[in-house]
Amino acid sequence: MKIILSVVLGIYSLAMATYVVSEMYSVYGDCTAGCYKGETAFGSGSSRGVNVQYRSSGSDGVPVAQQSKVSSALTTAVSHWNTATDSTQTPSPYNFQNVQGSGTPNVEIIVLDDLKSTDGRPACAQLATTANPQTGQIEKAELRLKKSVVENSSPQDLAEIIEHELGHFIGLADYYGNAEQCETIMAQAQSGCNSGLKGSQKISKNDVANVKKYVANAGQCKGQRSKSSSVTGGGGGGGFTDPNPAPIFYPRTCYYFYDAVDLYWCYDGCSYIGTVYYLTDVFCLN
Amino acid sequence: MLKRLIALAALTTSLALAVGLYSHRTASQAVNDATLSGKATLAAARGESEVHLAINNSYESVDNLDAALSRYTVVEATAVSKNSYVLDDYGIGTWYRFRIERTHKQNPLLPCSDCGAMPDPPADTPALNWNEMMVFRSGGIQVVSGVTFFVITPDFPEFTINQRYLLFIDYDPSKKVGLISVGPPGVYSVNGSGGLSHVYESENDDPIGSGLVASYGNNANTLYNALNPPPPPPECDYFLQQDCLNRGGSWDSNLCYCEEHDECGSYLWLCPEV
Repeated sequence: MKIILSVVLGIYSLAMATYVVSEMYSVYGDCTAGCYKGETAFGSGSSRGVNVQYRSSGSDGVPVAQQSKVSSALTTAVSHWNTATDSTQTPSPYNFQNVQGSGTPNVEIIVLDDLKSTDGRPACAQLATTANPQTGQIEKAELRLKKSVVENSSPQDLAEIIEHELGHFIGLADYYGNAEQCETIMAQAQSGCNSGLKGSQKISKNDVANVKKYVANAGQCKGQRSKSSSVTGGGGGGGFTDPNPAPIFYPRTCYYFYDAVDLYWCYDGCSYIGTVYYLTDVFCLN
Repeated sequence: MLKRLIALAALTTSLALAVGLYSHRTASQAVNDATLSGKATLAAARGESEVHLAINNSYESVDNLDAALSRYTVVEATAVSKNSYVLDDYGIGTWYRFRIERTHKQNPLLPCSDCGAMPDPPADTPALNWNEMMVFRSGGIQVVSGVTFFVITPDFPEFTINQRYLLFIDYDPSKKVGLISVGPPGVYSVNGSGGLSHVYESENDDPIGSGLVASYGNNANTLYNALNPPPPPPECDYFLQQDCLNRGGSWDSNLCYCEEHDECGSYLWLCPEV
């Protein structure tokens, strides 16, 4: 009896201790963001340099007042990607370089007052990638930040947004699972767009592993790439819709139900003499 | 003399090259390659007639299906037609006309501090019928300055015309406009028996999709019936019901109706009254 009680109490104590520890520390699973199905990831070979900078002047440039913040965020984002490793302590083949003021950027950060071409109401950032029409491989991208996001975010929160978008450039898709239970940089932004990403807000080992996986074998990128099918502007395409559709009328229809009774004459044996039909029900539809 | 001419030719050639390079550089710098018109100009200069763009948007996320059901309007609707437009110098979007088959749940449009106003449908949209709405999606195909832009949203395929969908949307009833703020996890194809399937390929279950599977058998009909249970049967007159049963009749509690006991069945001539 004592042994059984000791075992039960031991299991109970272990469970309670696990609960206490789990409440004290948020535990993130290492979740997997899928692959970016828009195009084939940028670059080729085992070492792929990506030049990144922000537009410092001219149309859509980062406002002067925000340039130090964006510069700091970019430096942080580049550093995080370059030092992140997978479970084998190996980095991705991509090496981001902050080439501010020199060189031609592969990814350029610009700032827009508003992002109109978004599917939903909140619009934090967009990565617009241009692909080679023949190969489908990403050639360059603009990282579009909404002006209010730049103004109202801290450098750290802005760095998370930039890291997320750079993840798309090197082959990762968005993560749509419950970000609070996962460690991935591909989680969505916090509500309001000004507080960085949901979840762990860190590049995970799986993020790096997936970048390496899809770079090594683009065929492992599951699923069809979405593709627009036809020009549909100016009223063309998309099928014909009758602007004044004729209403459909159904005539009043009645169903008549009859029962049938077979009649027999029985005298020294029975013989069939006929069938009588009579109405039992009427059911009408208007 | 010849030497001077050679020197002059070399000088003018150098000047021409310098001026040419400078003017080319100036022209390139003048083009804002972030804009559609700028991209079109640069593509045309390269002799290309197409530009392929992928736009990756940020979306809202929810922790579970219950949060989505209390946050978004949920409808079953069939895509009827679509039209793409150049929205501004940065983006192309497509408006889909949907016929609403049934509304599972309608929620008010929540205030959103950092969101713009719900967009208005394009001016050339024919008047919507009472059971129709417009849904906006990023991407589409349009021609800008003679160059065709193919703009896709990765992981979020465009709607298929005549396909029925289950949509989780921010819905503005005054404008009859819906936006899929939660992104791909907010769209499901509905088959003839109500079965649901994701429109995007994912290596992970999202909270909405896994919630639909776990709680509603991944079926739109089950979801609709759970969110819109049939009204309780009317409270019938107890005495009428008892009287009916006493006469040997059969009582229909849904209709508060007594089906009288038929002593002679269908054989009318067997009834003593006939």
